[in-house]
Amino acid sequence: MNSLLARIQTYSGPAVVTHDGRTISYETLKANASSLRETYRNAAMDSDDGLSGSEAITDLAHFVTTLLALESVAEQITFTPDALSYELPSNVSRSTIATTWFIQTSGTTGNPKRIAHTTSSICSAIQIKPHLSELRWALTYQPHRFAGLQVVLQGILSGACTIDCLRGDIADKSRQMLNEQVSALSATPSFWRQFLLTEPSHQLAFSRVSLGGEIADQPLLDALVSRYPKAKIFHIYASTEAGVGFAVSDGKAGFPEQWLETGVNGIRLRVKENILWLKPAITADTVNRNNSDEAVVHTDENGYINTQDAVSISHHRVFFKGRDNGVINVGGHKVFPEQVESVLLSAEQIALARVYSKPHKILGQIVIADVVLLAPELDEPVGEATSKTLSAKQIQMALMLHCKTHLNRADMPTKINIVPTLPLSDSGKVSRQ
Amino acid sequence: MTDLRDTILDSMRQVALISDCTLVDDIDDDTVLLQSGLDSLGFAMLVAQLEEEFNVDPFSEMELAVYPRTLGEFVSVYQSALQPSE
Repeated sequence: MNSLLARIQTYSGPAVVTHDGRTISYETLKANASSLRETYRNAAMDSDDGLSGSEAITDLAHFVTTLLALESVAEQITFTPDALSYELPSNVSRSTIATTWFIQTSGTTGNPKRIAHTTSSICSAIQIKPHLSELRWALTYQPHRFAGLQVVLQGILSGACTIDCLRGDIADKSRQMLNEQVSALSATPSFWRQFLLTEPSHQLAFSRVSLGGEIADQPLLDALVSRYPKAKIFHIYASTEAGVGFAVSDGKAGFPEQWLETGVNGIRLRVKENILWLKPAITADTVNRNNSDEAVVHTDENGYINTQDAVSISHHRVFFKGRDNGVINVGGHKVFPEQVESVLLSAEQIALARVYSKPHKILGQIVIADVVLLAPELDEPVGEATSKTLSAKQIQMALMLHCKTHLNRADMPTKINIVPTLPLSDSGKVSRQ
Repeated sequence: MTDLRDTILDSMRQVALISDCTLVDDIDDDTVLLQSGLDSLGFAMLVAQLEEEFNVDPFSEMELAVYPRTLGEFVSVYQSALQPSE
C-alpha cells in the first residue's frame, strides 16, 4: 500500500490553515514532510537499535507534516496531546512498512484506553472524490484523538483544506470559521447545539455537516436541515474499540432496523439484550492482537464486539439510548442520562442539557439535570438569584411536566437547574462527571 | 411555622402533580409521611424543590438515613435548619 505522503502527490493549493491564520500549501507540506522523512531515515540508519523519540507539536501544519513524514517509516506512532512519539527500526529501508497507530480514547464514560490501528483501519471511513477537494474543513476536535484524526485525514487525503479552529471558546471558534469561510464541519451534537446559537452560524453556508461522538437526536438534525438546506448532513456512529463505524445520511435519528439483517459498510450488526454488537470487516482477532497485552475488546463466539451502547427498536428504526456503563441507578431502576437529555432537548425552551447523578441516601442515586435556556435568557446571567423568580420557577415546572409526558416516572430528573452555560470536555462532549 | 408548613404543603402538591402521586385528603402534622401519597422518589423531588425554595437541604447534612415519620417532624427539621439564619 502507498504511504500517505505518496497518496497526496497530485494535490496542490491550500492544505492547512494554522490557528494564527498561516496557510500552508500542499506543495510546501509535501516538501517539508519529505525532507523530515529523510532526516528520520538517516538518523535511524545511523543507530544500531533504531530510533525512538518524540516530536513536540507546535501547530496543525507541524502535526500534519510530522505525521506524513513518519507514516510508513515508523513502526509505531503514539499520539499524545502535545507530541507524536515514534519508533523507527534501524534497518529502515526505502520500501514502506506497516505503521501501527496508538490512539488514546477520551474516556468519557470510563478509563481512557489505548487503541491500536493500522493505516488502513484508521483510513477506512475516508472518502476520496474529486469534488471533496473543494471543501474547507473546520477542525474543532483535537487532532491527536480519533475524531480529530478523522477530520485531518479526510481533509488531507481528499485534497481539501483543513483549518485549525481549536482555540478559544465557542464564539472564537465560530468567528474563526467565518473568517476562513469554512464549508465543512464535523463536531459533536453538543458542539453543534452551542454553535447554532452563535451569530456566525447564520452566515456560514455549509455543504457538509457531520455529527459524531454522541447521540444525534431528531430536534438537532431537524434544526441543521432547516439552517443548512443545501448541506449533506450525516451522523456517524463509531466504535473506537472496534475501530470502525458507519454514517447515517437520511436525516433521521438512529439507523434503519434493516441494517441488522443486511449489515452496513461490510459491518454486521446485531442486538442482544438491548445492546448493540458489531462485527467489523477486519476481524476482532486482528484488533485484539494489535492491542497485545490490553484485551479491551469483548468479543462473542461469533466474532461480534460488544459496543456497550444500549439501543431500542421502534418504527423499524434502531435508536441509541446511551452507554450501558453510564446508567444511573435510581432505587434499582436504570436511567440512561442520554435519554433524559434528549427529552429535555426536545422542549422548546432548552438549548443545552446535561443529566447526571447525585448520591442519595435512600434511593442510592438520583437524576439531576442542568439546562441552558434558549435566548434571550442566554444573554443574561441566570444564576441563583433569577432562578428564584416566578418565570424561572414556571419554566422549571413546565420542564418537569414535559419530562413527565415523555419519560417513565423513575427516569424523571429530581431537580432541574437552570444554568448560564455548560462546559464541553476536550473531546467536545457534555461532561456527566 | 404556619408559613413554613404552607410552603411545604404547596411543594408537596406540586411534586404530587409532577410525579404522578395522589396526596391523601386532610394532611396535618400527625400524617405519616409515607402514607401521605408521596413515595420515596416523590420525597427526593420534594426535598430538591424545597432546596430551591430555602437554599438548604437539611437531609444531606444529617446522619439520618430515613426521613422523619410525620409531617410535623418533617416541618421541624426544616424549621431548625432555617433557624440560625433568621
